[in-house]
Amino acid sequence: MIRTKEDYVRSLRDQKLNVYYNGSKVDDVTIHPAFIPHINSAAKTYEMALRPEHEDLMLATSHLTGRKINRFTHIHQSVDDLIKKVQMLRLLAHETGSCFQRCVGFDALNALYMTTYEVDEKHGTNYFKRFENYLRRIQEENFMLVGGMTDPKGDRSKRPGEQADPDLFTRIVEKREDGVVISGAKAHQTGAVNSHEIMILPTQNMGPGDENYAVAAAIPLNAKGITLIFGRQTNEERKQECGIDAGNPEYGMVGGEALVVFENVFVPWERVFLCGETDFTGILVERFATLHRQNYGGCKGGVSDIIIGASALASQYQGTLGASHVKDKLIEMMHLAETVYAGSVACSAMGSRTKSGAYYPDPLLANCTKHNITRNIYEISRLAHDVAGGIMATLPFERDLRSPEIGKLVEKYMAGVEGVSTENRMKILRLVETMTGGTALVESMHGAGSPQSQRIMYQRLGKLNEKMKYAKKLAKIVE
Amino acid sequence: MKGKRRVALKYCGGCDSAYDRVRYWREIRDAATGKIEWVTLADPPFEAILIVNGCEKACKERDLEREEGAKWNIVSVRSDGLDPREVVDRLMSCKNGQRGVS
Repeated sequence: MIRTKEDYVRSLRDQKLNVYYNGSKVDDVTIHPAFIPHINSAAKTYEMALRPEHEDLMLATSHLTGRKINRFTHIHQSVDDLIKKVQMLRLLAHETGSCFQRCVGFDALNALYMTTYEVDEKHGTNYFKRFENYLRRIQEENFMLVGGMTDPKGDRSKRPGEQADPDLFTRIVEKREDGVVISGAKAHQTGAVNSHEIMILPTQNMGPGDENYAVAAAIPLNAKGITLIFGRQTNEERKQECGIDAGNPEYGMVGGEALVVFENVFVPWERVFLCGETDFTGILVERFATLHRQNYGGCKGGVSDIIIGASALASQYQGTLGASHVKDKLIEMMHLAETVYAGSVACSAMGSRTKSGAYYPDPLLANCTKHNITRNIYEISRLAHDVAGGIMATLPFERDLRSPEIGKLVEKYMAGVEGVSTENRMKILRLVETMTGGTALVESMHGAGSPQSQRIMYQRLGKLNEKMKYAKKLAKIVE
Repeated sequence: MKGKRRVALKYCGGCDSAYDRVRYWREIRDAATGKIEWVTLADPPFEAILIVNGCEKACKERDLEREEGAKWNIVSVRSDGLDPREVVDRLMSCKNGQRGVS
């Protein structure tokens, strides 16, 4: 069982994944500077679970075994569990200022738990029991899972079976007596290179003829036929320097995303949780998306707290914190952060029990939360840039500060208020820079689904007809 | 441990604490030297529970009220504003399902 950070790192070293970074195969991700910050972030989910002052959020009681388990492997048993999930995410964001990656697998577990129950009810299959057995093992081992939803999708105007290359949607290429064979890929998979297993899910609602694409299955990431290609992030070379210019040197910028390719990967039946039941793909996707969109006011709310704090410090270090317009901008940033947090808490508080017994957030409010993330985090970042000043983007290198020749010049001309070192000023400006631009921002836009996918949910769940009826009644319209 | 009062320590989850809960509890522990034997909720029986909440929302206070009913004497702190010696006094004196909140 994985308990400590050391256990976790050892488990990653032992599993020997087929990982590529910048054109080269990586033998050991645990000592590669590109991956260490992401591993550190995910490791926090293990480390903090061991602290008494955080166990109330980080641990839960398994409904299967009655044992204490890491909350990231828990099936929500109440509204309180849904709220604690959001609180836990904000807490972890305060520690890392980054994505800690385990929520995606967490959400895949919960979505499958409630959906396999209903698939069995309708189709007489035995996925739920199978899934419970799998879940029991994940809870006991405390494994980290990737929630593998997004297929590359090729030509978006075409259905899976119409693609020029059928592998652009992940699919079953062969059904055997002992299992299925999978080919395809999952794109931008958070935490994939430092996880243990991937839970693949259908990427979208499937219809008749798409049966081979209606597949959910758990696959160890070191299975034969899997290749992981790590995505390039903004300024990732700076992480390798491990210094000031990295901004947040110990932790990742976002989750550390990879393309996960499956080339004829065999999956035994006990790890298959959906196989051809296209009528449940829509609800499975919707549930996973809702559970994942629920999170964002927690994690991004927490990340925003760091951005706000860093912006205030940058301002203080240059003597502008007392200016009324700066104070007002910081207040606006707080308002935006608490607004997204309120959304996550609200969709959790309005959660409900599914047939399986697992609890599920209010889908409309969860989508509202994520939609606000696509706007508010950009606005928070814009205000951070405003408050921190242009110097954030034009600072010299750390090596300039350390240089025997020009270090004194950097020290002299990058200084702010008396009593604050130039080095500290540079550190906080770099932190603002790394958390508010490039990959970090795009994650807020497209992580857990692009804005349009949330607007589709408004169209479906927004009850426009009811709103029209309310209006007609008040206007006394008689038809 | 004869003569000492057994008190279970329970922190809230600390999602957004307004102060350092662990530091504050250490101050309480130091003020309780020789008076209190600290245990966890998993180690009953105990004569009182000290809940250290990180803020005024006091989630754990609410949870414990629900989970444990009225069977325990509970002293719940929501900030580090109270003198640790006062918290110890309350822990030492509470009885018969009393509740104390700071």
